[in-house]
Amino acid sequence: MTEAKPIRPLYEFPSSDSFDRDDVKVVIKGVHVVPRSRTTWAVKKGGEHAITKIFRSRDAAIEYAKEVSSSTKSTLYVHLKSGKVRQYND
Amino acid sequence: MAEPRYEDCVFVNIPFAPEYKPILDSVVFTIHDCGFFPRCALEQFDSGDIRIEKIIDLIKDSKFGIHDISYTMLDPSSNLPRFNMPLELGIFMGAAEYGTGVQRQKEYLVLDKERYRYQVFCSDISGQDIREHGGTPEGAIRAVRNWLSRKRPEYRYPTWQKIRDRYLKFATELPMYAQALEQDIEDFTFNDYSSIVSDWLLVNSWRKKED
Repeated sequence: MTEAKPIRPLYEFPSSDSFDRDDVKVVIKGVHVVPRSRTTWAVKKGGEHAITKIFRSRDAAIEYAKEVSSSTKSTLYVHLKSGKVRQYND
Repeated sequence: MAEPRYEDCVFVNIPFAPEYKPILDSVVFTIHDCGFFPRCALEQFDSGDIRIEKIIDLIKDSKFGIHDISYTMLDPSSNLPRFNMPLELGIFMGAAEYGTGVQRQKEYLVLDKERYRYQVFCSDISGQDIREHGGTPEGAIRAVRNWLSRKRPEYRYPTWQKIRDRYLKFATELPMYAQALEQDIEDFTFNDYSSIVSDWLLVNSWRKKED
């Protein structure tokens, strides 16, 4: 019996109507600080290497998220309670 | 990017009603994760303004078809049943039966909420590949993954449970990504959703560990 081959490659879906595909990949690889409740904030990195850590202050969450984004060379996104998102590139 | 090949395309015939969106989303994710390419009438139309010629073209371009015939409720405004899903299944079956060349290689999966329920309202399709999804994304993922994995037995596939777990993770993270992209998730088109799924899977590929 022959050994099964690795899975065939994924197809990249060719088009999106609303956003730049490179931006999507940066966002998916990014570290996100999101409001979790009225008084807590979460630092999230999605996907297979997901992490979630909860903080009582936004500043503490951002400090931790900066360390993670720096070590993983990813972009930091801070989601405000208003729904706006602030982006840090360094 | 090159056009997807006929033998990789899966025509997705699932109701566009809001209550079916979790099923549609999970099936699109599963098709991508199994290395196939989902095709859907919503690629070209976001609303109900769908032309049958376009559907026929999509069916012609797709070797595989997934047809959910579980939406048998009466339309609340007209009190009449909606026949779009069985119609598109019929076109697909006809292409497989009467088409020429690669069209005759067509294969399809029929999904319903419960096993054997179709015999009450669509008994003529008895004997076809019909699976139940129980009206849940989990059931749809299991049925679609298990069916697609048999189409290319020479390749390895993740288990349906693994695809389910990854889908749940993706679905939980999607609002966060949408917000960072300054998009309203409710406004996502089929192409928006499918492209984000594709990109998420490329970034988070289980293949890297196994290849």
